[in-house]
Amino acid sequence: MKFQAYNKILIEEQTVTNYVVEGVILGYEFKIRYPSYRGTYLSCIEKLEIKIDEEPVNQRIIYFSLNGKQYLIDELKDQYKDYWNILDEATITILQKGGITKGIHMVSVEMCHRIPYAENDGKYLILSSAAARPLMAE
Amino acid sequence: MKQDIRMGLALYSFTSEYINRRMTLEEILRQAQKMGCRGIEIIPAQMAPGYPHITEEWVRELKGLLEKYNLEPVCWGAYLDRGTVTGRDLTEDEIFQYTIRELVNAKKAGFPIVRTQHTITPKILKSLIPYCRSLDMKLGIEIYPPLQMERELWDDYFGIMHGEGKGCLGIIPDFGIFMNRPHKLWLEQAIERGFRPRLLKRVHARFLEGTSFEEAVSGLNDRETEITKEMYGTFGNAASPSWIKELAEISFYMHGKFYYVDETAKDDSIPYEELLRNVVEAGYQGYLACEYEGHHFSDMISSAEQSERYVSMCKWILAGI
Repeated sequence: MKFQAYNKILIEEQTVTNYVVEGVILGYEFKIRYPSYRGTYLSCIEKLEIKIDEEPVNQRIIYFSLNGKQYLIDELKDQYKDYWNILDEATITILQKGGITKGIHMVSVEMCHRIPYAENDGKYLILSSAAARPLMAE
Repeated sequence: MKQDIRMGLALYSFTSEYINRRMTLEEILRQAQKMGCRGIEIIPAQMAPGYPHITEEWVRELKGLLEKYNLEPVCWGAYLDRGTVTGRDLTEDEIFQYTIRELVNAKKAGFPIVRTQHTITPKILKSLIPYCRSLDMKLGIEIYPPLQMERELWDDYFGIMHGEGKGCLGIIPDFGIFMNRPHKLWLEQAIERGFRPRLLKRVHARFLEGTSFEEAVSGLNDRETEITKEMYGTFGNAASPSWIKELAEISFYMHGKFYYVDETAKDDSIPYEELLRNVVEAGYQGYLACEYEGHHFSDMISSAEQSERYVSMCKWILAGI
């Protein structure tokens, strides 16, 4: 049951904003942080699942942005050179024409992440961190 | 008794405040000065912007802060992140280069000791000796729980540390390896996880009496049995406090791990009185870092209060030796 106290920082307490491309609202965005005491390599994120108002969001419409780069979820496993500092916010972008409806939405995130130094019998420790937080969409 | 044990602070102790943005690096360093913890350990993977690349700008800033608060850089808390690349471990060559990079970064930042981890292997460790010697750096492998149980592995390392690596390769014992009783935060979490308080009290008493696991779990439900198994696993395999005497001979630095020190400045979980007496008797000279880890359990406890209590505890124990 170690590390569970860090899950609180997974979803940042900020508003959900629209994802606007050249004046077109293509989706919406919110911020997440790495739920631990130190940062990690993006390659150590083994699973990242999101639910909005209890509905799972399809992976094909989620992007993950950090350090000035926007990744597909499937690309994360190869990013062993990109480091997610513990104080830095990553942006989750979800495609949805016209954005999200204004008001409160329940945002849930579940992340499975490998601890790259914690190895036992050839297997690395994989932690599952989950958080849910009502966020206001403007 | 003659002693030269100085108090240090692992900045990691203030993780709750740091990750929740309640304290900055500078505020934590100011607190270290206030507590009289002059020797500092930093975990760059936690606090260095741009990690694993260390910028000159940040090093300048860090040195400036250490000077401002009259603190001494002691330990660079490096990792051996062998599993960063998905699907394979780092190779021996990669671990060798990775560790030299940490030694160089620490040297530039003014920290004389680098903490590394047990997966480094004896072969790689030996190959680093000339680099440690020419840089005048010390490299210490941390023994943290449950690694105290891997005695064969440590015997190999200890041989190198007493032999060709003498003076530059050593151990950083984490006092968590001596934690032999459940602490307050662990017991509270067990109740939060659904352990009926009355039964937890009974199981706790049985554990302390040395009752076997099989006997201790009679009458418990599955969840309680599972938590009891964790209790026996976590606290039932502690190293004997006498082991610290052997470790002290090859230690450059010690991690004074703790989870909870009560208002009378006592730790119920780790036998500090016996440990510190052994450390002094072994003739250890160097820093003992306050390393609070209650933030694994709750981010609502004041790390400053816990650290202050810890320093008081070490002081009264050392004064009585």
